[in-house]
Amino acid sequence: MAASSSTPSSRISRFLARLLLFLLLLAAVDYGLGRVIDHFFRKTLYGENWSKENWLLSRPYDVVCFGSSRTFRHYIPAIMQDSLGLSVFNAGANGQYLYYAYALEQLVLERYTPQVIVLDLLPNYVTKAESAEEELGRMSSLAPYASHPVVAGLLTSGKFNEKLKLRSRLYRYNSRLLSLAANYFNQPGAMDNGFVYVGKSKFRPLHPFPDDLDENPAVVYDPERIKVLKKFIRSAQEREIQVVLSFSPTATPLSPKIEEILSFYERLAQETGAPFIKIVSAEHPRFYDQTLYSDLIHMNELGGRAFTPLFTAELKKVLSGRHPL
Amino acid sequence: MLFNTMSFGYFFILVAALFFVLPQRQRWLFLLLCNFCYYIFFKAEYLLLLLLAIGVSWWSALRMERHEEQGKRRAWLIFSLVINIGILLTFKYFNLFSRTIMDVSAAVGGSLQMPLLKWALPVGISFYTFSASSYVIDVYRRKLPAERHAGLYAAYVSFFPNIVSGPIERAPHLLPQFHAAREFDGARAASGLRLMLWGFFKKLVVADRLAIYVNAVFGNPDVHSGATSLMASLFFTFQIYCDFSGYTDIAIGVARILGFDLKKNFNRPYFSRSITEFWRRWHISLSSWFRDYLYIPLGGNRVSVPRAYLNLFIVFFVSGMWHGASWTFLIWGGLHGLYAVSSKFSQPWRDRTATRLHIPAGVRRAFALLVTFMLVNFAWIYFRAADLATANRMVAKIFSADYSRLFIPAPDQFVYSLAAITMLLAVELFQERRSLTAWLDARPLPLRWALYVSVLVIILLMGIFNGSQFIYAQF
Repeated sequence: MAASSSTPSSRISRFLARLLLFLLLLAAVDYGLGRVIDHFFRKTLYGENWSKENWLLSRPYDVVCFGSSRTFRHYIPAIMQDSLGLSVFNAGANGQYLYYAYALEQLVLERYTPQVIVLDLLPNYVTKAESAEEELGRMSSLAPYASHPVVAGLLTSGKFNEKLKLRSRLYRYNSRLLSLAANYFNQPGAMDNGFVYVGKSKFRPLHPFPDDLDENPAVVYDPERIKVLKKFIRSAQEREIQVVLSFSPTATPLSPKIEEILSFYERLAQETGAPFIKIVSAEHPRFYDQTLYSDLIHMNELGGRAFTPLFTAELKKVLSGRHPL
Repeated sequence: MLFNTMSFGYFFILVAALFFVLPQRQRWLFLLLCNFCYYIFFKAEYLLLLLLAIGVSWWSALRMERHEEQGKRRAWLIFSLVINIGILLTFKYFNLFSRTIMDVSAAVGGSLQMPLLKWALPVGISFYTFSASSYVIDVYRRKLPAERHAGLYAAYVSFFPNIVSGPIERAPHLLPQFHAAREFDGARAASGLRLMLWGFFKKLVVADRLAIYVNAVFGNPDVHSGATSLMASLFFTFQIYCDFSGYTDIAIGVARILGFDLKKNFNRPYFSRSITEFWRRWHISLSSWFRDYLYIPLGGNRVSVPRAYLNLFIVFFVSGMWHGASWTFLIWGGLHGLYAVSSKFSQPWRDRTATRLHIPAGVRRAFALLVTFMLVNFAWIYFRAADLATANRMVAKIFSADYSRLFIPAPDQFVYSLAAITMLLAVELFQERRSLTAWLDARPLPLRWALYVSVLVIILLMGIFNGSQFIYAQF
């Protein structure tokens, strides 16, 4: 009755005042609860794959290998550490490409300075085989680090609406609460500095490079991605970190398209002064053995055990200045 | 500019703010412009079709009213229905028609080529066509005077909260609301916001979460087991309910804030104990439309028993057709028709058997609820599948003996899905017993706000914010 006797403007004012109060309460809960989750998240170290960032950032590693699922499966830290006498972390992640590697590298560089950064290259790091939007859309695991400007820039692509969403501390943990809770009690166990021993999985002729799936026979380079790749290299080099580019073997011969992109990477390595360790099956035919692979481009544990010593030997040459640029 | 986008949020805040600031006499015009702006965001060209539907139905009703002679009135009715429903049929069925003729031609050794339309279905055409058509029919039946104010009529047909996916509003209910003066009411606005909040929970936390699993399985049925196929079909049953009723809740909430009442479209349908009851609780605005404008004109149940069964089957079959030109929708509608007919047919026998076997009423009710749910769930497989072959493969998988493995791509995401369904069912079960609105209104403000904040926290932590389309927006 009171509402009907008041004037419309006073009713609107009263409603807006209440709404404002409610929004303030929501903001306070979002901030408070977000900080609590944040606290537990920072203590969560031993996640797998996409949730191992804290592990990488929690203490300094001498050598960090960045990249995609190929990095995740091909570079065995224990073997590298034994040979190099340096601590090694495998920061490769399934389904993640250059943008993720760049964001993660920036987070590492904010915290410590490794001696060596390895980037295992995929052909689509510099092409338009996949839209940037799709690639960036898979990077939500980095949302808790959204206070870093590079991470925020990549996650939001500069869009106002996305920036607004990331203002919410709770939203940064969207769909992650359960894995966070599970990881909180995790121990490294069978994991080896980011690497997971998957055993001798059987070969299936699946998962070619995204560029080989693209029907367009010509390589369409992405200037934006090339710029990010150069930034990845330069921001490490500026801190006097040895950046090493690499390419690991595949189960079948490379297509002309992939060969062309590898030539581009060779030119880029020359231009930036980053050594390029290219280990392709054509030059090392034992890597055509399909028992080393779980699919066309991913090696299994046997493959990783065959590849890592070869790569580490080449890396040693780089570190001793004997590797040709 | 769907409800689950930020753009809609900005649009609605602006509309609601200006609507109540403007003088009463200018509000209808403002609302009409907002309706058109909202529609243009989807595809500007299709505004012409909407204007045509509005113009034809408004003009026909006026002309109809000027004539006392039944023949002339009927001529105007037919003119309006042919234009409006003709456009709908053209967009929905022309390609199916063309392809069928080409297939038949190929089957008899010919090579007849037919043109195919490459246009997307205009947004909300199935909904606004039904609103406009019901208005003309009501005027024809003299249940309603023709609206003289073209602007108010246009505002009713194109009302932005319900134009995309309903509820299908009838003129006697909504049109007078455009004539009435609207004053801001804080309690109404709060209840509208509450409904919107629940709608967003259903869409973002339940529907879009379940869609991830459903899409993965329905997109590749051959590689999945029977257990996985059954799980995907159950998930879709909840997905479509939350997607559609979530949209409806938001639409009703938006309209309520502006001072308009839209009709209830869902009433916890999965608690139904028969298919007839399910259709009294599911997409109520469409089922009541078909009841009033198709079932009853066909004779309803005031005809011979076989004819009444046929009428019932026709209504469900047409309901399937309304959804689109695909065999899967026709089978979905046909299945519901068969369910309804066989339910009516077997009712006396079932009652006798239950009495003879002394089955307790509670057990009988629970069994009826379970059977109804499973029948509805089975029909949804055809509704969801991309084509008939996919639907049949899913069904074959479900009835196979392959229940050894369940596809769980990410255990935590699977747990979120189950948790979302559990929360939904808990709230719906509460609502089955008592009114949640009344219960909430009787609580002190701090408790109410704590509950609203909790729902928002769940949405932020568990919602899927990819701005995915509402399923019924494609119809």
